[in-house]
Amino acid sequence: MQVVRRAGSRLCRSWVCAPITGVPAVTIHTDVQQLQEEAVKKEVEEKAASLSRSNFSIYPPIPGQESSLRWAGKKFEEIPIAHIKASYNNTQIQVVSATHQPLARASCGTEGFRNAKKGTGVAAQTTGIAAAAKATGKGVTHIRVVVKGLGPGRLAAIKGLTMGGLEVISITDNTPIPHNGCRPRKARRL
Amino acid sequence: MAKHLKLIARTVMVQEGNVEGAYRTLNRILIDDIKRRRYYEKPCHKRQRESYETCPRIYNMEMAHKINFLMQKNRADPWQGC
Repeated sequence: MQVVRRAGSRLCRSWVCAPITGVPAVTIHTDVQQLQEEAVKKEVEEKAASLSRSNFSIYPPIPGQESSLRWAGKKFEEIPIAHIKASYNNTQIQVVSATHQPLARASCGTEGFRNAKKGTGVAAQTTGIAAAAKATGKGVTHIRVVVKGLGPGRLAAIKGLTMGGLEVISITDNTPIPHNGCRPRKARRL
Repeated sequence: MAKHLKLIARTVMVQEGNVEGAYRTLNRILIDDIKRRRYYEKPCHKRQRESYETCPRIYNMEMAHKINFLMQKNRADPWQGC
């Protein structure tokens, strides 16, 4: 019945369009016992899957508390950081060590793109690959990614970093959000 | 200078590189807010947009409540045979 509830809450139209989606409606109401057995089976499978996945949490290890997670023998706080500034017209990537020593820097402009082409996902991906190549030259394997801005290169740069051979272990969003500070520019009239 | 610890808030750990989708859904509300702040939204437009958004929200919540209530009982299939 929980399956039915979820399906019902998502597709309110099913009440009106039941004749069109006749097959699921028929199986729901005629074989209640079968549905209950399926629900029990699904719960058992979910428990088994969650037990295998329970060691992984989406939250990062906090510096104050001990955690047993290690990447290439390093703790979370000692892994280099890749700062990605994804503005609307350009994407810049800088890989920095955990002690804030610069390791590699690349941007769409340094990769040969000009003007409007810098503000594309393709340019961001090539920038990611170039930055990853320079960073692996300095012995970096795992990185924590910090993204700033909401541009076209936001996801493409991370993909480029992984394609270039670096392993991303965490993604942080550091987009500056004003708590109603400066007034932005006026609305565009298209 | 920074009053909060860095790299803890708004951070998602990546599991074999396939949590980018989960990261996006995590950030969905933040992204809408950032998009809105790019250009200034006048208070009159903001009030109109808020009231426009609450209408489907109220309807969806009431409908979900109604469906959950109705589903508490097993009923005969009204469209059996279709």
